[in-house]
Amino acid sequence: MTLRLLPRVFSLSAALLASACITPPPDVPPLLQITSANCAAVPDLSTVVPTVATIDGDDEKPAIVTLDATSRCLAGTTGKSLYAIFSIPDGGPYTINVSSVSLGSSILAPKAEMLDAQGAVLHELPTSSFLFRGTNLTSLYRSHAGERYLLVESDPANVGKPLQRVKENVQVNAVATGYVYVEIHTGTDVASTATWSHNGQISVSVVRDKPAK
Amino acid sequence: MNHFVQRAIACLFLAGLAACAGAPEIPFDRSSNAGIKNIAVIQPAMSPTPIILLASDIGQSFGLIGGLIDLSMQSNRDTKFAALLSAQGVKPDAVFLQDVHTTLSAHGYNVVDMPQARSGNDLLKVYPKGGQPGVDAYLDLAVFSYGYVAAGIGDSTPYRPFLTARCRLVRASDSAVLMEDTIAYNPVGPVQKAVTLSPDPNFSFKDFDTLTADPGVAVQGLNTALTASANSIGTLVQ
Repeated sequence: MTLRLLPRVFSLSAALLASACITPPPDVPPLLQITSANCAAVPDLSTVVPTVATIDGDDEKPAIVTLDATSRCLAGTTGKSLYAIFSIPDGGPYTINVSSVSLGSSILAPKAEMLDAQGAVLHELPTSSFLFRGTNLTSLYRSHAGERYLLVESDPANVGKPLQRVKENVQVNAVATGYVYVEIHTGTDVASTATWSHNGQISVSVVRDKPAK
Repeated sequence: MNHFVQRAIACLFLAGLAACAGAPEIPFDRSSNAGIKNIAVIQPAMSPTPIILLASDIGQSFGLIGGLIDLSMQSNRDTKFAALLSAQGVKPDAVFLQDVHTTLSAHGYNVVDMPQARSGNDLLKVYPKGGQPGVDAYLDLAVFSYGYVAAGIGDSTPYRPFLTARCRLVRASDSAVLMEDTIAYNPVGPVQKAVTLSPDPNFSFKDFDTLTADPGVAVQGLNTALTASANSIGTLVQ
């Protein structure tokens, strides 16, 4: 290998290492039933998770909550659900990004509502507004005055249903021997299966518009 | 050669959709824009013919010569597939526009078409000042690339339909952007800031010959991608 090839090999190796360092999410089995007998009728506002508003374009500071069998639960008309409640900072409007993060074979079936300071429902985010953006199931929402809390809970109507997705990718591997340097391009097509579940991870980012110049 | 360059750019865009990471994601707030009832869909920026991409292959390992051979082979695939569509009487751009109409109507909007001459394949830079009578908002659509893609050679990486597009809803009265987003149906590679649609598993073809062996199914697969992408635009303005 000549010296002039080294920088190319190094740069490519760095890129490959960087892509290899993207840690896959842990594989968490789906929680399909909530066994707790102590589910509340309304969310407990004393358990709110604070969020931090950032300016559009800056690094977001998401509030992340993991729901599991030990999380608080609600007993609603459609069944029991696990939930987390987030506070929205004063001074909107904001673009709120609420995501259900895929955890291998499980992904939280999300349902979300905006609440006022007393916990009354002001607005329900349609389930259909949750769309995959990359590997996360995300709803983007524009907040309004008076919306103080974001309630995210599992949706019993969808828990247990299968989710199948296909992901395509390409890779580049470098082979260098003596004076020969070759990049091998290959592709993958991987189908994955998960189950909509009560448990999972919720990520909430709150972003304020850039101030007008 | 210009044709080849366009195809090469399409390849790069597909493989590097992550480059869209800087593109804005602006959600539509319908409750604050209740006056938006009549949407003019601007004639989308969209090639009338799809592309049939092989996202990775041996030719890419052999520099310029390999790249040119690849582009030549792709051009042949594109031409054959365009002929297949023509024989079936299918115009994907018309299908997509109709799908957009259908989804917007389903979400309660009155929809009209707005002819527009395009010089590139991106969203417009400016919109009619002051709007037009009876038009509350313009929906601007740019389909960067669409067709079929295989991540690599071999049976394990079949051809599946794909589409990448951007959409923007603009208030007619003052050109304020009410919604903007990226749609990626079956993207190759990682994507973050785009609505990411998984391809319908019913439409996968182990190679190009299989893809073209049953033109009806190939067209159905492409139309499925167009409809799903249009529906996601409808969801974004619901």
